Formats: sequence, structure tokens, C-alpha cells
Amino acid sequence: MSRFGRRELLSGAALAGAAALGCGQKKDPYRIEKPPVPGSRVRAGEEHWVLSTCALCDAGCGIKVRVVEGRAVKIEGNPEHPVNRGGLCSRGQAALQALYHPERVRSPLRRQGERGEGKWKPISWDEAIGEIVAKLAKLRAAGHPERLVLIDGESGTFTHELWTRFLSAFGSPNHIGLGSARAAGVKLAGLYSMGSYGLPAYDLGRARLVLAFGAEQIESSGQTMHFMRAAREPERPRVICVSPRRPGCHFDEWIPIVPGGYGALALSLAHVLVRDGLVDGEFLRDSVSGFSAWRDQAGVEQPGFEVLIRAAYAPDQTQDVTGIAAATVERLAHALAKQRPVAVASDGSATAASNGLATGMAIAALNVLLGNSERGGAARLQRNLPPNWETPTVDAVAVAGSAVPRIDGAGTAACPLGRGRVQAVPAAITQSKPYPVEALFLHGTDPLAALPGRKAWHTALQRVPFLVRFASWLDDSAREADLVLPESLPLEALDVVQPATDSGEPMLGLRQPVVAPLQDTRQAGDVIVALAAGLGGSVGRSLPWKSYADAVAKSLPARLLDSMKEKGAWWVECGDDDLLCKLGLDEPKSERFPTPSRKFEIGSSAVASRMAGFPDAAKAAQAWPCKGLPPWEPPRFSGNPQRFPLQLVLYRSVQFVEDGGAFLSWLSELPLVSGNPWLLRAEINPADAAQLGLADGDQVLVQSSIGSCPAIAQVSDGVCVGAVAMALGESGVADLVVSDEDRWSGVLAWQGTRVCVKKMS
Amino acid sequence: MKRDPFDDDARDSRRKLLAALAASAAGAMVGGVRAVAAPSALPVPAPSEPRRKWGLVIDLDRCARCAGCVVACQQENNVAPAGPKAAARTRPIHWMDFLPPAPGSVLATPIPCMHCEDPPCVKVCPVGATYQSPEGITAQIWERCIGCRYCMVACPYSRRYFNWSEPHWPGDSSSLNPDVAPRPRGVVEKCTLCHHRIRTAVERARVDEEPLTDEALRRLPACAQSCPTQAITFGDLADPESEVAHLAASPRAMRLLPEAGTRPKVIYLRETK
Amino acid sequence: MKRVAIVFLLALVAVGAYAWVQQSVQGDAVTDLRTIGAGGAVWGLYVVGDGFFASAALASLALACAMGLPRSRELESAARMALPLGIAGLLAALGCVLADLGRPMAAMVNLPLFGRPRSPFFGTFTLVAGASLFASVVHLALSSRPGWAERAQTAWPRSCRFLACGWQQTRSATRRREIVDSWLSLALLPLFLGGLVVLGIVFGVRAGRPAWQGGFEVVTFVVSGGAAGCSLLALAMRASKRASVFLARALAVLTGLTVVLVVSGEILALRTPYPSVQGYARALLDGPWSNLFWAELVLFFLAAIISLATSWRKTASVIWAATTAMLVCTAVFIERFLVLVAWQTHGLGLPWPAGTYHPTLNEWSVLAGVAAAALLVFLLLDKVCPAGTAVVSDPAGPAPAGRRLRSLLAAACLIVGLALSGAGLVLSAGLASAPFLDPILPGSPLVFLAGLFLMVLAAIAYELIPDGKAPGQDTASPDLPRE
Repeated sequence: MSRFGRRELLSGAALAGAAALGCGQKKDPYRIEKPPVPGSRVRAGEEHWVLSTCALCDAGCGIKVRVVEGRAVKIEGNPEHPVNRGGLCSRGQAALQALYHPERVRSPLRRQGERGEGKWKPISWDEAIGEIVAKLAKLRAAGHPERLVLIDGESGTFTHELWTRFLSAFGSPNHIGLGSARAAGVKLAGLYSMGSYGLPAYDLGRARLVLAFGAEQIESSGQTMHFMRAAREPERPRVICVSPRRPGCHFDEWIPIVPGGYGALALSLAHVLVRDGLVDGEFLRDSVSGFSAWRDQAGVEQPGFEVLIRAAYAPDQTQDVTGIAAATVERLAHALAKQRPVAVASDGSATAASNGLATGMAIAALNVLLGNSERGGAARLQRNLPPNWETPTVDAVAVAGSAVPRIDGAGTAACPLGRGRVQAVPAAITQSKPYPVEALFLHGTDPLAALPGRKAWHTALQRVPFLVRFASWLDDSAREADLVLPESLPLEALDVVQPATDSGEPMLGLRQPVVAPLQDTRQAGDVIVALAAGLGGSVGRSLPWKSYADAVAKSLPARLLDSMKEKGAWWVECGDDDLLCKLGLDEPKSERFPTPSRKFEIGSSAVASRMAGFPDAAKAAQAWPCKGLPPWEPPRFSGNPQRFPLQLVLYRSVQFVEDGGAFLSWLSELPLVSGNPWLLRAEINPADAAQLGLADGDQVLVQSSIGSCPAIAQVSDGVCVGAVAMALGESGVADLVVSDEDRWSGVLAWQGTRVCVKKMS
Repeated sequence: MKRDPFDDDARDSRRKLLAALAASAAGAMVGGVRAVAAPSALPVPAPSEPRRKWGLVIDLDRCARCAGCVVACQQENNVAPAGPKAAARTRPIHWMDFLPPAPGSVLATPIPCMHCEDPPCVKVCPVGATYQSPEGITAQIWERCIGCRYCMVACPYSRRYFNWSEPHWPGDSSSLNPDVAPRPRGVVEKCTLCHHRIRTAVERARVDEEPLTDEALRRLPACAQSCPTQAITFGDLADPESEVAHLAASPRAMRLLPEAGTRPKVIYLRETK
Repeated sequence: MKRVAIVFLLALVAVGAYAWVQQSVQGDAVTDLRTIGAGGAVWGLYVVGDGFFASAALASLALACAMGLPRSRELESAARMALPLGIAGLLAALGCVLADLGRPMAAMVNLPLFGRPRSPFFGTFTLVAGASLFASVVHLALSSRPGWAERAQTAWPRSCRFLACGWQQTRSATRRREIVDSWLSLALLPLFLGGLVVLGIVFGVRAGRPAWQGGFEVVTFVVSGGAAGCSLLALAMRASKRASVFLARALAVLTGLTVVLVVSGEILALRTPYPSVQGYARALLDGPWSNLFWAELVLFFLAAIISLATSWRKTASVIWAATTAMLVCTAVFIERFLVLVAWQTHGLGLPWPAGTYHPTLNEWSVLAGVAAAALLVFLLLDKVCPAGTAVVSDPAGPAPAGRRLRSLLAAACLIVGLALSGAGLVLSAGLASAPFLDPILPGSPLVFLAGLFLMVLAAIAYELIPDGKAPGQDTASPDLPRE
């Protein structure tokens, strides 16, 4: 009997039975009702597990998804995967709720009526792509390919690499990432002192003591899983966390610090280490340049870091800046020296201040003083394995377009040491400087919710003639868009990710489509390939693939891809010698740093040479006490201290998901706070609360010089005095933040806003 | 932007009324017959087999408080999210919950059902909806529960939850686990120690004719499986060779509210100072 | 005046019914009950109502039984008033429980099928909701027979005659009536007291709290329940001076004792080493529940003084009885509320956040509806169950005829009932039926209940079996001496 017939018969029988009972049709309260998956050819009861890679943060945990009758019903950690070894945090598991979320965009949408009005017309993918291709072709024909801007919230995926390739073939330099708003301070410090841009790999599993600058890394970031895996070791590392807010996650000791004071703490720890002779002399001699006096490229003798640090930053001098007692600093320094191997780990929240780069470099220097780098303990270089695509063919239009300066001023005098300033984009668009933006693609981020300066972003988005948003939900910026392209969620799409490991060895994670796309969605990679094909010419030739899957297949050796399909990921231990040789990984990692001096550079020659390219900056750099090392300055805060007496501390909570996730009820309802978990909370120290007359649970309005945001006061001694802590990713929080930045590196000073808190009646 | 996925669910109250009336009438008729049937019991070990005593050990020194276990439990056991309205009245259901830090401490404690050896909730249940399985799991027959909530009052650990309203999954119920029945309104529910997973493992071992090893059991419940720090260990407390038995003998071992005389089989390992 | 009151009560019932429908459509989400530990109480107004109504009913019934024992005519007629009061109270309690249950329909099926004697609830639904209610109805019906027989001559002849079950004002019938009355009183007293204690256990004993505390609360529950029953009884029976004085005395003792118990319980709780008990005591003393706690004490104290004055002055006025009843009932209601709710919000052993519980309008409406319905039931019973003209029996008169059959049947009822209830209890307890402790036979609780009912039926058998045609028996002698 066919399924249809049987069901009919059964429901008929049920109806008859119910009628006989005289009680109407009754739904069995214990039955799981599942609509049949359209088009799936699964048999009843059929189930299997699919290996994939989690996409809720950039840790790249391996997951396995249980699929029953074509539906994903459970996500578990992949026990073989080196990043998470079977564990998975709450966010990763909540991905299922995103997959089956009722508000997903079901097909491409074209705006009808005014921007933000919310009137949409569903269109086909061909129509949508045709429209974009026509716009882009016009830009190229006019010789202005640089007027296409992409803001890309994703990094570390092959889709990201594909965007880069597309834009270079198209001729736009404006592939703008969120780096400056994330951990750019730490990554740039790695670039300038170790020669490679990226987060250092902290070998937490071997460390006995971890000094964590910033709580984000142990609470909610790509590094968190490394911390959690290290906690499995029988001799797990002791974690001392320095941050203005007590982390919600496990730690052994919390040292509250005044926001923006991390660099001063690192330097005063360095001072004690140097003063008391606790540094690793051998390592400093062999592998570090700039610790003692050194000669720059011009042959001029430069004072070393040692002289600088001996002269200043004694713990009792930094006490006021950091709020940490001198005795604590002394104790901490001695503990670091005694309990090697140690790791001094730092995250984006520690460097998100106007002194971000200097802070990052001071923390990096602290690691080498202890001899951590490339030895036991911590702070190694991260190696990557980019896709092995052929070099794109570029035509004259593209060459000319790519040579134009970026709209965010990266690589210009605006931020001599930075690699991007996404926060500068709204002003550039609004003022049409250096040139007007004709088309803006938003992928993987909703700048209206996730970046500071909502008003400025809103104005800017209004000014863009053609705004395309790749989105799964109609979020705030999608509402402003001309075209909304529904993106497949990671559980429906194929991709390759390059997670950072704690060994520093390269690794690739495979995201496999676990279920067929539930709606008429496509993954961004397929859209990029289709756009290139539509544009044709050299752009089409640069991306010659039929689909994104094809591009991925061509990106890596087939054996490696096969291995990934089997294990969900590929890491060095999986590779045979041939493969490792082919990938250039056969040689053990060099003990040397890829810097000009082949050493760790405390005084960075790269900094010096880049500063030299900008006359104003070079002049300023002349005044630096230590050449090549931006001087640490006290952080700048926006807002009049009289009107706005408190410092806003933004943290990423356990629930934080990039590009949305606050509406996933699993995460919003985690039992980590008491009371209504859906409400936004402003944590405040009891001392400040008493002064403001606030009680726990009061409705308050948090105000900064540019915006305000209602919240519930949570009086807690887990926040240092003079600060208000709020969770990032919640609506309205970003509105408060003034987008100030580090003038050298363009790092966004997330933690540099002053606020006041008022009780709402 | 925070959206309320529950809002779109405009409920037709008349339809609901009719449904409720019909459901209660039919429930009364059908329920009786169905509930007579023996509850889905755990396999009772043969008399020759040593009786198992399932337990959990939670190492607070390792626990990162990432709450991965909470979501793992909810997804595995088809616990419906509360939604903003019910959550505002503190009605979310968390079989695996977090106990706020005690005075003088700062870290919360993950707290599943204690699966007491002497469970007060079982004593007070008027209809035998909650019972202690032969292997020590404090289980609940959803279909038999009448919603009197006496067990919730009796549980010293507050580890039971009542369905204050009809469970509702935003979107569709596609991601529901087919192995676990969802609980309707008016029923008390609780942690089952993932007994469907235990049963599967036991059955699989029997079919494969292989002994059920402690290694295979350690990460069996969803919470233990998901734990990134492997702070949660599951196993047979009656087996002196098992990991849980070893951990339970640790000097760091402690139980919650020992004065209640319930003898919990969830054992905590204190943090090292 | 009375009509207005009845219309008002009916309106209340309508409001309550509407609220009840709301609750059955939307679920218990319409109440302010929440998960215990997550900041709320899972048992609230409904269970408080249940505890209040049932304890007041049982206490008044027990008091009436006790008053019936000395065989004083004056007390007896007063005691009779307790029956409608008890029935109405027990029905109200039943209504509260049904409103509280998450699945009342399933409860009606599953309780008789799987009721488990280990649970104190077993006692409440068999002893309180089942046997006590049934026994009071039987008791009331039997004792109303003379009244109905009398009324049959004026109105509703058919129904009244049917209800009177062939009552004839004979010497032997009267004698039987008396015997049945006194035996019923004697037999039901432990039933009612047992029900009261079981209810007290439901309220008082909770896991994780020290035994003495629970024990203390059980005693307080029983004593204060007695006070509530006493005050209501005093109000329900009008006129009889002797009974009023007796009740006023009892009330003075009971309320006074309650004050002592509550105060000493609080002092003891404050001095225990258990943080949970201390948290609870603090919440009563100066925490969020302090207003209610102090109000309760003041009310009890006032009631004690008033009833002391009444008993001393030996006057009975309806106004004062009503005032006392109001004071005592409010106080007892608060006592129930605090014992139940404050424990859940502030007396937890683990460091859960303190909870709150503010009953919603919906809960109040249901409770008011139930109370109004109970009052209507009381008024109705009071109207349709007339007390017959008091008859005086002549102990020296001839013994009732047909004695053997009657006694045999009654004894058989008793014995079979006892056997049935014993068997039902054993079967329900599921002795040796591991692993689920289910009844050995589904439905055994019904057997237990049937046994209890059968034992009550013995009274009916004894009273209703007609006299045999024994020789020399005066079958009709309507001219009995009257008082």
C-alpha cells in the first residue's frame, strides 16, 4: 500500500474512532509530529551521522550531526577532532535552532517601496543574480570597479578566500573585514613582532599557568575551546584572568583591572621580571631582537626594551592606571617566572582600546621575556593552508581598480600600521571620500547591530545606491537592502574552514551539507561563482568553476579532501609524508620568526619601515622612546567624565553568536542568570549602585554621548568599581559605543566609551 | 535585534478550547487504557548479573560553565524552549540547570536530577508516575502523571519541572529527537539520565555480544557527551572498577544536601584551591 | 436579602467557571505558579484552598462526631449542622484540587487505577475526598429521614417520601436511628481525624526539612484546622446556647493553642542550624511574608480573646459568631498559605534565588467561585435536609425487631468492607511487586475505597432493613412521646 493511502486510511480510522467516542479528533500529546521532508527519498526510521565543522564561532570544532529521515536532530562534538575532542559548547549545539528557525528568508527578495519599509517581492535566483551582474558590469564598464565594496564578517573560510579572489579579479580593493573590530590588536602585534598576522597559538595543554588578558578568550571566543580542552588534562593549567568583569566561565583567580589598563600591567610585569632577573636570558639572546640595544637598518644604535622597562613601569607607578596593587603585580610576575611553562594569552577585548596595538605588543613581549615563544608553553606562530587555486587572470580595469586606495583608509596615513578600519566605512560612504560607493555587499555581518555607530551606519546605508545583503534572517541591515540573498546555513552548505590550532600547525575543517537546503537558499560561494560567470571576461576566467563545490574540489589535493570527508577535518597527523611534502609541511616548523631579523622583534623593524612611509607618522615616531615599538599610552575614553562617570565594559557572553543568535531561544534561555533571561542586563558594582541609588533588577537607561539603551541593573561584585558591563551582540548595546580607534593601527576602541546609568521610573 | 519567534503563533482560543475539551475527554478514556500498559522499562538485569547503579560525577574543578550540557540535554530530550513570555515568569525547563553560586562562591554549579538512592519524589507520587528503576534511575512515566506537582514540592533539589503551557517549538518540530516523547501540558518532567541512550547501548552490547565496557559508558548521557572539559562522567557506581566509582572515592567528592538523607547518585568533585 | 446573596454567589460561581475555562484552555500559565527554585512556588492558592476547606470541613465533622458522643440532645442537633458544612467544605476542597491538577481528567482515571498508598495523597483522595464525603452524605441522608418524612406531608410528597426511605415514627425506628447515629459518630471520628492528619502531613512534611519542623507543622495544621471548623460550626448552627458555649470554649482553646504553636514554631525555626529553615523563618519574621505572618498572629489572638469572652459570658450572638468565624478563617487561610508558599520561595536548602508568588486574578476567581459554589451547596443542603422533630426513644422499650437479619447484614457489610479495604490497601501498596511499586492489580485503590464505602453502608443496612413481622410487634405506634 502506498504511504499516502495508508495514512489516509489511518486518519480515517482515527476519525471514525474519535467519532465513535464522541469526543472529536484528538492529538496524541506524546506523538512527535514531523512533516515529511519535501523531495527527500529517505525511508522511515533511516538515520545516519554526518561529520562537519561548527560555524558558530571561528574555533572550528568538529561536529557530527544526527540525521533522522532527512532531518537534523542533534549536534554532537566529533570525538576524533583535535580541536574539541567530542565536546561542544552551547552555541554549537544551538545551530539546529537556527536551521529550523521560522523566520528564515525563504527566497531572494527585492525591495518594493522605500528603504526600511519592509515591503518585499520574492524573486528567483536567476533574476537576482542577473540584476547584480548588470550593476557590476556597469561599474566595470565605467572603469570604476573599486566602487564595489564588500563588508565580509567571515574570515578563515574558503568562501572568504573566494571573495578575495573575486574582488581582485573584478578590480576592487575594498574587501573589508571586521578585523579592526575584533582581535586586530593581538593579530597586528603578532605581525609586527613575529612576522605573521594572526592570533598566536597558545599551547594551553602544556602550560601550567595561563595568564589570560581579557575574559573573552576563556568565555566566548575561538580560543575558548582550547581552554576547555586543556582543562581535561590531569594537571590542568591554572587560569588567572585579568579583566574588568569577572568571567562567567571557569577561572582560578580573577584580577579586576581598570578598562584599557592591560598594557600597563603587561609592562609592569615585564619590569618586575627584568628587575628581578627572572627573564629567560638564553632565549632573549638567541631569538629576540630589541631587548638590549640594537642597530636599525640605517645602522643607528637604538635603546633596547630593557632600558625602557627598567626606567619606567614599576608596579607602584602603574597601580593607578591598572587599579591593581603593586604587591599583586609582584606576586603575579614571580608566579609566572616560577611555574613555567606558562602562557600569557590575550584576546581582542584586551586590545580593543585606543592603545590597542601597544597593548598587544607589550603582551607579546611579556611572552618572550618568559621564553614562551616557540618553546614550551605558549605563543607560537600559526601556519595556514590556503586554497591552492591558480593565480587569477586580471585585466587592466582590475589592475587600475585595485591600485586605488581603500575607502576605509587601510594602508594610508589614516592608520599607518593597520590592515583595515571597518568603522571608517560609514563616513567614507556618506562623504563619498575618497570616491563614491556605488554598490555595497554585506556578508556575514549586520553592521547596524554588530558595529558601533548605528546612526552613522544607517545614514551610510541609505546613501548606497545598490545594497545587497546576504542574510538568513531579515535583520536590521537586510531591511535597508535593495536585494536580500538568503544564504544557506552552514548545516546546509559546503565549505572549508581554517581554524587556528593551539599547536600552530595548519588544519582544515570541512563543512558538509548535513541536510538539503530547507528553503530556496544558496551559499555565498555559489553566488560568487555565478556572479563571476555572469560577468564573464577575465572575471569569469578567474573563477572558472561550475559551482562552489567544484571550486572546493579544485582547491586542495583530492587525497586531502577524501580524508576530510572521512574524518570531518584534516590535520597534520592525518597526512602521509607525500601529502605533507606536497603541501610544503614536511619540514618541521622553523625555530626562526619570519621577520627581517629572523628573530622576535620587540622593537619592530616592520613598524619602523611602515611608519617611514608616512611623513607625519614618521615625525611622531621619532619621539618614541623605543623605535619600532609604539609607546603605551593611557587609554582614551569618549564622553565627558562628569556627565558620563562610568566606563562601559563590553563582553562577549557565553551565548554570543557573531551575526545574530540572540534570538535563538536555547541560547537566550541559558540558566546562567536568574530572572528573565531574555532581558538585557547592565552589571554594576555595588559601590556604584549604592551611589546611584540602584537596586538589583531596576530598570535603567544606560547613556553615552551618542546613544542610549534600556537595561536591567544587575548589582554584582563581578564588575570593577567605575564600570558598567554589558553583553555584546544584544540589541542596542552597540548604539552606545563611540567608534574611537587606535590612531596607529585603526583598532576599534570598543572598550573606550564612558556612560552614565539612570534609573527609569 | 532580538526577535520573538513565539509571537507569530497567534493562537485561536476557540479552537484551543475545543481541542482542550476534546483532549481531556479523550485523554480520560484513552489515558486509562494506555497507562495500564507497562511503562517503557529499562531492561531488568537477570538475577545472575550484578545490579547496576548508574551515577554521574561532575568535576567542578574542570567544569567551564559553558552550559553546553544544558543545550545538549534540551535538544536530546525534546525540551521545548519557553519563549520570552514564559521565560519572563521564570518558567523555562532545564533538566540540566545551573545552581547559582552559594554565598562566598562565584561559580554556578551544573545540577541535573540527583537520582537519589532514596528519592523523596518517588515516595509522594500518588499514581506511581515517578519511580525508581532497578538500576537506580529516578524515572517518570509522562503518560501517567496527573500534574499534582507533589514531587516538585518534595524534591529538595528542585530538579523537576512542570509544563505550565503546551510545549511549542518555533518553526516546526523537525529537530525533535524521535527517541524521546515530548511532554504535553500539565505534566511534570525531569532528567532521565538519558535512559533511552543507556537502553540503546545496553541493547547494542547484547546484540553484538560484547560486554558493555566502562569506556563506552562514560560519555553516554547527552550532557556528559557534550562536555568540552569532560567534567561529567557517567557510569556504574556499583562497579568498583568504573571511572565513576574511582572518582566518587576521591577526597574531593561531595554530595548536595547530605542532611536531606536522599543519598544522591550525582556526585560532585570540589574545586581545588 | 437572601435572594440578593444567592444571586451574588451565583455570579461568583460564573466568574470562577469562566476563569476555570480560561485555565483549561491556556494551561496553568494563567496562574502565577512557577517552577520551584527558579523563583516561584508550584503549589499556591489552589492547594491552600484545598488545605483550608478540607481541614475546616474535617475538623467540623470530627467536632460534630465528638459532640454526638455524649448523647446530649442539644449538642446532637447542633452537631447535625456539621454535616452539610462538612459536605460543602469537602466538595470545595475537591474543586480546589481539581483546579490545581495539571491533568484533572487523567487524575480521575489514574488515581483509582494506580493510587499508591505510600503517597500522602492516597490518604487525601481515599479518606478525605472519597470516604469522608461519602460517609457524611450517608450520615446526612440517614439523619434527614425523619425530616423528609415530615415534609412529605406538605410538599414534594414523592421525592420526600423516596428520600425518607420509609421512615416511620416508630419506637424501633427511632431507636435504630439513635444507634446508627452514635455508632456512625464513633466510627467516623477516627476517619475524619485521620483525614485531617494526612492533610497536615501533605502540608507539613517536606523532604530536606528537619522532621521536628514537619511534625510541628502537622500539629499546627490539625489544631488550626480545628479552630476553623469550630468557628464555622458555631456560625452554622444557630440558637442552641449550650452548644454555642461549648464551641466557644473549644475555639478559645484551639486558637490559643494555635498562637502558641505558631510562635514557638517560629522561635524554634529561627534557632535551628539549618539555613533553609532559617531562611523561611526570616522571611516570615521580617521578610516579604512578614505582613501576612503578623496579621495571622493578630487575627488568631483576637479570635481567641473574643471566643474566651463569649464562653465566659455564656451568650451566643450570630454577629459575634460571624466575626469570630471570619477572623479565624482568614487566619487559618493565611497559616496555610505561609506554611505552603513561604517554604517554596524562601526555605530551599540550595542557594536558589528567593522566589515570589502573587496569585493572579484568575486564581482568585477560581477560588472565589469554588467557595461560592460550596456556600450554595451548604445553603441548599441546609434547605433540603431538614432536621426532623426530635424524638425521644425509650431505652426500656421493646428491642427493634428483625434484629438478627439486620445485625447480620450490617456485620457482613462491615466485615466484607474491612476485608475489601484491607485487601485493596495491600494490593495498592504493591507489596512485592517490584520494580515500579505499582498496584498488583490496576484499580486496587478502588477496592480499598469500595471497602470503606461498604463499611459505611453497614449503617444504611442496619437502619433501612425493615422490621420483620415478629409476633407481638407493634408495627405502627405514631404516638411517641415528644419532648
